[in-house]
Amino acid sequence: MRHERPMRRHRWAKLAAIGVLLGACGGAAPQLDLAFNRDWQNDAGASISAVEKRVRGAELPPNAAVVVGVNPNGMIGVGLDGTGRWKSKVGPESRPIITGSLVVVSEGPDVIALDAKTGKQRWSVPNEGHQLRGAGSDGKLTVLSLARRAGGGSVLLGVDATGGVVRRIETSENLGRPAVKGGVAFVPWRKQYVSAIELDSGDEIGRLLLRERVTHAVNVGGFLYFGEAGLVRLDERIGGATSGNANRVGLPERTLPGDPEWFQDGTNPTPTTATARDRVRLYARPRIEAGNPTTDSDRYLATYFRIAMALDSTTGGLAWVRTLPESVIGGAAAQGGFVVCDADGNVRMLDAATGGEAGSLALGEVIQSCVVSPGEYQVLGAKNELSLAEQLGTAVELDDTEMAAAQEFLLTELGKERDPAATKTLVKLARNPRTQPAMLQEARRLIAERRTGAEFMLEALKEQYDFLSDVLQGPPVGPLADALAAMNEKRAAPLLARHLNDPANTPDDVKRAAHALTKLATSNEVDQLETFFALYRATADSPELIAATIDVARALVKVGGEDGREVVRKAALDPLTRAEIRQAIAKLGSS
Amino acid sequence: MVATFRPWILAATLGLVAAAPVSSAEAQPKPGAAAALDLEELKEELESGVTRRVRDALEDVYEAGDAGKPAAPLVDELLRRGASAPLVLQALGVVQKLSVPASSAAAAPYLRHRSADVRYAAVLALGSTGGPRAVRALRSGLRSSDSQVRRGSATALGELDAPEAVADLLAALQHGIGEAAISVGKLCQPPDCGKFTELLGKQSFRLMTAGFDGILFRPKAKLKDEVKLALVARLRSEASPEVARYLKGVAQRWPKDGSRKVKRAIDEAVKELNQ
Repeated sequence: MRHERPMRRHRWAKLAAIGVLLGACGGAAPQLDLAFNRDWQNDAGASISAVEKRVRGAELPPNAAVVVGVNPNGMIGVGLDGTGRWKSKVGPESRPIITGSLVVVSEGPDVIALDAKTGKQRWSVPNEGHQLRGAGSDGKLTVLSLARRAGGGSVLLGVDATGGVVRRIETSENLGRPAVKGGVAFVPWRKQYVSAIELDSGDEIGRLLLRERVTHAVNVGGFLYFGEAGLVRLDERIGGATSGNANRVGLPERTLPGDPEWFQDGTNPTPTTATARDRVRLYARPRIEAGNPTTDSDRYLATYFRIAMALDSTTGGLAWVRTLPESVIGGAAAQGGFVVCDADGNVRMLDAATGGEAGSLALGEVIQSCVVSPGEYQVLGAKNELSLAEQLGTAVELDDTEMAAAQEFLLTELGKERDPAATKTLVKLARNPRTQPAMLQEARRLIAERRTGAEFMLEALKEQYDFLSDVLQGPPVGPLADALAAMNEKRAAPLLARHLNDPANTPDDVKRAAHALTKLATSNEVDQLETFFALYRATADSPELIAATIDVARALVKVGGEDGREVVRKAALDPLTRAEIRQAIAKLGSS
Repeated sequence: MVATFRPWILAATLGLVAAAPVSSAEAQPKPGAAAALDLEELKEELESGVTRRVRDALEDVYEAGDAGKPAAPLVDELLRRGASAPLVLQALGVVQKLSVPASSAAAAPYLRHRSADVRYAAVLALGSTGGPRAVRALRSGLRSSDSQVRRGSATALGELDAPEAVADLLAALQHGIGEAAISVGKLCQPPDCGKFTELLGKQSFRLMTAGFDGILFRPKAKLKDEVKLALVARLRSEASPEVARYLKGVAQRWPKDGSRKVKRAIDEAVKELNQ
């Protein structure tokens, strides 16, 4: 659909000469005479409190619940409930912005607003050659933040529902993503302020100073929030923001793969095509319940290309993991869950509680990027048949080197799971010749610490290198030996004894198997023990093999009866036995 | 005791010389060597724990040739107790020389030693001692992580005339162990010969011909003509220059007392393929 230019002439032309508007505002609110004035003195939240009080009763409709995909043909939109599918030939030059009931994009010389439900053009205004950075709408007014292409600076436009420019402010500051409520624009700038600008007069009628980065003003569920790494809500406590007493929703400090961000720097226009930063993101829906700041469902989502993981908003603990067919290139946190989309145009709704797929949509085309506005959309509950250990298993076993950072993170998480299925996955990883060295080392370390899943361990130990059966990677004998010995699993003894004499195992594995056998061996293993002892008492050529031989001597003395003791005794006297071994076993045979 | 170090013993165990049988001149015991073997003394020397004395005792047994066979249990006992790597290599060389099947049990564990030299020495020893224990060990050798052990085991199983190993040898051949082709050709019976023939086109022709020789030149008493005729027919159907060259060579090497029926089939195939 081609947009049409509205017939109405823009009023901003009459105001263009006024860079900074002076004005007065009635009432008790403190007056600020210049928008984006750097000489502003901290008023300890007084002015922003007054603004909040003023707009508190104003209506702020929720944003449309819609997903919009962008590709070289234009845009495709569809309601998250599957209704209102539309296509538009408007080709955005930066990422579309969904605000209120509008999809706002910049194309050619104009900023164009489309109806989010139909894709039909509502209005357009000249962009003056600037880039669209952000937009906010309260249903009546829309405020646009435009970035100069060179030299920095911004133009802020206030536009009414018919496309009339009601306010134009030009500034040398780089503005963030604005919002509007009750005729007042809330504009982040200098990454620390949010100026409240009355669009009727152009006056800055209040200012919020935050002690953290703020480049976004967003409408979530009819409330405005400001911030970037955390969000402060515009409510009766906003005056305490400077001193850290406002209602603030933050996410737990936690190192996550790729260092994902909740919001990217809002002073930069977002490119049309999704980048790596879009594939590595955090999604959360702020919620303040009974004065307790949290996120919807107490969850937030971290994506890393094809892996989506939900974490607990309070503890940061991992709740679930989904391994998706394609990389996530966009998404949002909705009520009860998350909505994510991929480059194939597939949109999935994931239950916040379980990670189960509650629904899906297909945009029907390959896309370069997508924007999801959850509005008041509610993701339904959906079962997830897999346990967390199984979910982690699927993710860490994914044969995709691009996932390495996430897989290393998830592997550590897998180690925390007591579920025997975690043991199964760790063993599989340790046996997979394609497992990356760092992952292999970590998997082996975690196996050694396992205290559940003995059945999987025993099953693994039954296998040995077998060229004809294409078993070219034996089990992780050493770590399994450590774990099974710690679990006092006697069934492991014959299997470990067999591995003792398999040259395909590393010397370290052999050493650990021998050590486990000092605890687990029975008289049934005497033959294997004697064979090993004979083969290596005089030929052990590494510290590991020497240690293994000494441990095997201990096991022989323990379970080999008088014959076993005799073997060790004779070896201790035989000059052919390696000196270190002879010394270590000297007293064993007589004990 | 007189002991002279024979470098070839170690060389053989290290695979530096072919696993071919020792020449008859070398295999012959030195005159009087048998008489010099005193088993009591030998036992004492082998149990001395002194490297030089053990080495000399082993050398004496080796020198004794067939007359040293009564000493085989003493050498086996040394292997069962264990010794330093050079002595183990020497002992396995002696076992190989004596070819006493009972020694297989003592040599077999060394097929899984961590030293590649020792493993290969064990393959050679077991290929010489034979018997069920050796065959079992060498079949397991086909599954080894050591390619030298796999190849040596494949060769040894053919030389030991171990038909029970044919299925493993076929699998080995399909896993790229070329030496298995010769052994399969020596040992196969229907239907395994047919399975081997089916590999034509999947394995290198040169490799396969080593096995085909084993089938075609096997005495009638050991392999029926029908099997050989089926192979010739299969080769004929291949109709390639290399098949023509191979069959021509077979025809030239065909023994005078060989099957006429098979020879006729070969001649016809050669004629057709050369047209």
